[in-house]
Amino acid sequence: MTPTDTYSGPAIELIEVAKHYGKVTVLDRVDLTVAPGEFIALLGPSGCGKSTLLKLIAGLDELSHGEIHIAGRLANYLKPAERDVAMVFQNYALYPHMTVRENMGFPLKMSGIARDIVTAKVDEAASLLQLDAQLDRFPDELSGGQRQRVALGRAIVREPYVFLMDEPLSNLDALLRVEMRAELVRLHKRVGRTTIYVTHDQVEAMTMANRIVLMKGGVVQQVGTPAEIYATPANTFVATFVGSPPMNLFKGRIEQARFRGAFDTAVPARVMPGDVTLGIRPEHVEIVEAGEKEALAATIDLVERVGPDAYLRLTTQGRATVTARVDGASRAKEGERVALRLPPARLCFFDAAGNRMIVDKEG
Amino acid sequence: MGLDARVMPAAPSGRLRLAPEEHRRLSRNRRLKREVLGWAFLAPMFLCFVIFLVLPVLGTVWWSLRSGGLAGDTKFVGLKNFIDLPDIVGASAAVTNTLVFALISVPLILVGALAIALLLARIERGGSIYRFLIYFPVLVPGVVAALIWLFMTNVDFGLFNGVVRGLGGKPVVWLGADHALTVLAILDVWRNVGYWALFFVAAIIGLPKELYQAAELDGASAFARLRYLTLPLMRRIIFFAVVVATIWGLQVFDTALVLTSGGPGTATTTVIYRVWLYMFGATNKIGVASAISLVLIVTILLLTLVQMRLLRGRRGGD
Repeated sequence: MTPTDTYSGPAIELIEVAKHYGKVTVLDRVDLTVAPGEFIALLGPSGCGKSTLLKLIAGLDELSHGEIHIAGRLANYLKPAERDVAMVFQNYALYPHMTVRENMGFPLKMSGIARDIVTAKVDEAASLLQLDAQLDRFPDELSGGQRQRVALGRAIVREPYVFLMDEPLSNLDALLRVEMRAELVRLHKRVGRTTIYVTHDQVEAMTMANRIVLMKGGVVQQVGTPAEIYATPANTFVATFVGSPPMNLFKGRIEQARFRGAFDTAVPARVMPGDVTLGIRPEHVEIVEAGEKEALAATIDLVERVGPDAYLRLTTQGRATVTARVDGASRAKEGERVALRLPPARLCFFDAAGNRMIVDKEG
Repeated sequence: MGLDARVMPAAPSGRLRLAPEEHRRLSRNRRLKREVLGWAFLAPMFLCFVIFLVLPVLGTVWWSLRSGGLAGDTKFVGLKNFIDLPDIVGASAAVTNTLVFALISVPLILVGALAIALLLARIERGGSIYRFLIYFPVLVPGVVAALIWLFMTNVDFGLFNGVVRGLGGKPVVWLGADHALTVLAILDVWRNVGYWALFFVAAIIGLPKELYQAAELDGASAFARLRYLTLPLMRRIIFFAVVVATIWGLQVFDTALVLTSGGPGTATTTVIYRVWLYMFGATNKIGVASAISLVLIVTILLLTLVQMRLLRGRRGGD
């Protein structure tokens, strides 16, 4: 029995975790609590520190400050192998000179498990991942998707307490990525282990994770469910990073329940007066009949058709650029003059610096 | 709407603007130009190859079929020089010495180089200083290296015996019949270990870091990582080093000449040293020297063939 068998607290706790390289701060006091069985996505642009955080949890790098607790144990001073975590690497890190069977059995062999048990466990994982026919092949004889599965298999056979995945789908083509995404979610549901998944792809994070940790410049910007992150972004960075096309943002002032900036439009009465950044998702921008209440005149600069949707790039009379997402069958044409409306209930508000959302329960 | 759905018409046949023969002619011209340019770039190398390798080897073949010395008349004797080889003076001693020399020096060089390389690859700061120090003996010409070791092995004031005396032992005659060949082999280790160490460092640094991180997470100890990752992944490079170091070992000459002059007796007379003796020594038999050289060339060629055959496998490991 491992110490984790009787433990019932948080799976992972990060307390003020920081990493510096000389004077450069890569991670700045990250706090995070992960529940057992949770699927957490670390999301952010390149260089935001998400992979560094994963390596710190794995023990492949030393932290400069803070504590990492895994299954209630302080893990700071434990070797990677002692942390009961398995990791899937971006380029899979399969041992090129070992067959699929040897690759998957390697962690078990290293922990001194009897050969017949290793064989049984590898066979079981291989059948779960549909790799039975590939067991005697070498990694360079496999397709990208198969290699990906072998990497997963090597992690699964160990039955670790935590799975760490570092952009495991980024080397696959678009179609295979969608397929493997679904497969990973199914696998997570079946295995039920705590998973921390690093990605820069918001679609992966939104579709797979129970909660998303959105990072920028080594700082956690927001932690929340995909729906929370999308609907109530904590700042303008989150608002623009999640969602495609990104949220429209406009700087201006609130006066007498109206937004006054490049255009003038009604806002909910509870929004405090002052300088604000107003945000609205492209799908919430309404194209309406001219002359309708609160309608803003605009010209269509560009129509981007992406199949089911069309993205309209509009310029208002006050030179504000607005992106609207409309039905793909829309007959909108470039150069056409239209009217648009920003429904007050759909508006988000950020302070003038754009860093903190002004809580507005009506909006 | 801006975009109308249009279906591209299939290209009707017979619409090519050039005749097939014309296409073939142009394509042939293009290939020819590329070939000519390629050979032009290769020509200087081939010229050097012919002048400095093919012609000397052919000369050696010619000389090996003749009797006589460098100066004076020679005459054609057919394969006599080859047939007589096993019976010529010191042949067996030379072959034995050379093999023993290679058997001592090659394993020590390669194991030592690998150990040093593993350490060097881990150094994060000041690595270049250590690399230079390790590589320094490689830069020392063989003759100079032998002179340095002549001093170090001197019975009365040499460094080695200084250490032996310091430890309370009796001075050793390092270049006596018992130890001379071993000292010669150790000198070779000293000269070459740095070269192969740097060679291995480059290979080790090039190994993917993720594999080691994965192995660390998989619970592999430092020794297990060496045993299951580094050595299998470097298999080809190590094998290449074994063959090349052996080939070099079989050609030992300059240090044997300066350090021991092949002695005492024939204790350090190696194959190449014997060639040199036949060529320029009192016996002055250029035919015999050429015949020995040819046998050595063929031996080295065979070794190279074995190496190429064994390296043909697809993977680095197993």
